[in-house]
Amino acid sequence: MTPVKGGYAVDVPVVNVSEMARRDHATVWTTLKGFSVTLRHLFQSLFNGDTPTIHYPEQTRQHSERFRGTHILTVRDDGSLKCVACYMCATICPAECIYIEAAQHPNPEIEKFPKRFDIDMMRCIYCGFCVDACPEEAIIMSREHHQAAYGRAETIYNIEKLMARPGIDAKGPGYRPNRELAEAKIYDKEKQTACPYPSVVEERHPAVLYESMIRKRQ
Amino acid sequence: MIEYLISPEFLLMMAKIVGIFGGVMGSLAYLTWLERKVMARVQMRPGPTRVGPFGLLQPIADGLKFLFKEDIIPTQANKFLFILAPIVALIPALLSFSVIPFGPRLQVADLSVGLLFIFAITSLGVYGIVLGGWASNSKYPLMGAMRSSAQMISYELSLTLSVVGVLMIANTLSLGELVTAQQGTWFGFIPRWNIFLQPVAFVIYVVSAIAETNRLPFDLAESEQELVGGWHTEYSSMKFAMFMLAEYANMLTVSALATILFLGGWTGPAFGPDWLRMVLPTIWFVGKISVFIFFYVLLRSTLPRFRYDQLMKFSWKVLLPLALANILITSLIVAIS
Repeated sequence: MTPVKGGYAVDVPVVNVSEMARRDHATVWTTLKGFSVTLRHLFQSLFNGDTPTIHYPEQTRQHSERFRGTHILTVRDDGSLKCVACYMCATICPAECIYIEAAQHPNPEIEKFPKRFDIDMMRCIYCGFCVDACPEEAIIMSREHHQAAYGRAETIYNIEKLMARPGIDAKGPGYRPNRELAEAKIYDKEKQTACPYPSVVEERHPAVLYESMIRKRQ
Repeated sequence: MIEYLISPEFLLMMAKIVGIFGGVMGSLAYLTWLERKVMARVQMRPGPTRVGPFGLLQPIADGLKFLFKEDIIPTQANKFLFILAPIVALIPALLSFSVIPFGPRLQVADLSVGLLFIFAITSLGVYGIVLGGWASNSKYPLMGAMRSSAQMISYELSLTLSVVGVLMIANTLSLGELVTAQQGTWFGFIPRWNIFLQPVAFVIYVVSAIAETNRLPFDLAESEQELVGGWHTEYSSMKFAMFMLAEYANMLTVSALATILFLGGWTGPAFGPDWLRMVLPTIWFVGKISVFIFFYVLLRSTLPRFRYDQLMKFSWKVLLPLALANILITSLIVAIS
């Protein structure tokens, strides 16, 4: 067997299955070894709490800071939408899930604002192109992904739903095109510590708990 | 007649029956919890956690669910036998507790042939499985039932033969006397348990007992990966629960028997005030059974299932000759001394 150079399959150990079967033939010794494995796991998970389980409704998985979840429409200091209804996001959207209806803004410098801004969450493929396309940082994504609903109509999110949804505050923003720029633009840098969206995740990823086992096995 | 019904002996007997029956049924329910919890921990899962603290109310929730589930009887099934089978499985399994001594006086009836009674009664349990499998009129249950009957007949031989050595030493079939014969110690520190006299018989007994109760690694009758659910594939609701209860009751019976025959039953150090001396033997007994139950559960999460031919080979070519050799050697020693 030639090892693949430059790939992953270098120095793959060749296992002689019949030899292994003869060696690991079910005997009293191998049974006792099996018991030691199960007992070790039992006590590890009993006393070390070494289990990868996430107790769902109480605990949730901490997603990446670049997680592409439900969209958020950001607002200016006065609470009005940043969106200028330029249709860039709706144009680039490969799933064609964004519907915008523009209206004239009272401020002539802003020109337009969205009268309607609907995202069909069932059609959305969460590619984040809308976020990339937006010239105003008006649309970003959150780490929130709980979108269960009782009907299709509820899965079309309008402006109110996209602006404020419970859970988004707790989990923080997800995918933003240029993090530093976005943070500087969205939040005042001085107010970063008081910001409701923590930018650095202190908590360990739940899967990391499992590492203690993986290392021991090697 | 009325006089007997209000006599203290009768009332004491009824109290014992109610106490033992209630205790056994309660522990059967909590065995399911224990099994799920231990297996889960071995597999790095938390197990049941939702119903009550540590999921302790889970058996009650399960029981309620079983009661309210739809009771389905297949149209092609033999209705009479289909209903009869779980009853036949459960009643003998529970009956065997009537002769098991849970303590010096905590025994419903100390039959002079208690051991024979248990073997006779528990071997009736196989009819529940066979009838259930046949009456379902469905292929998987039938295959499960056939496997189960073959397996139980094979392992019953080695199970019974492994006990013979102990009987030759103890010279009695009464379970109460078997326990009292094991009281005391050798050289002041080794308990006079039969396990030290009959270690081979003990191993044969434990292995056959696992096979006898259709538990992993010998659960070929059930083997859910091959036979869907084995003989109880077509069963649902309370009938299924009865089969489950019977399985756990059998587990408890064989563990109790192993304790009585090899580990000295309720014997153990007694100390403290009078009330503690009254309770301690039962605690020792329950503790010894718990060790077996824990071993059973751990074994289930450790070993994969045997292949059918391996199972039969193991019974007839390994356990049976070993048990016979053990009887031969024991009888020689008993004859000489």
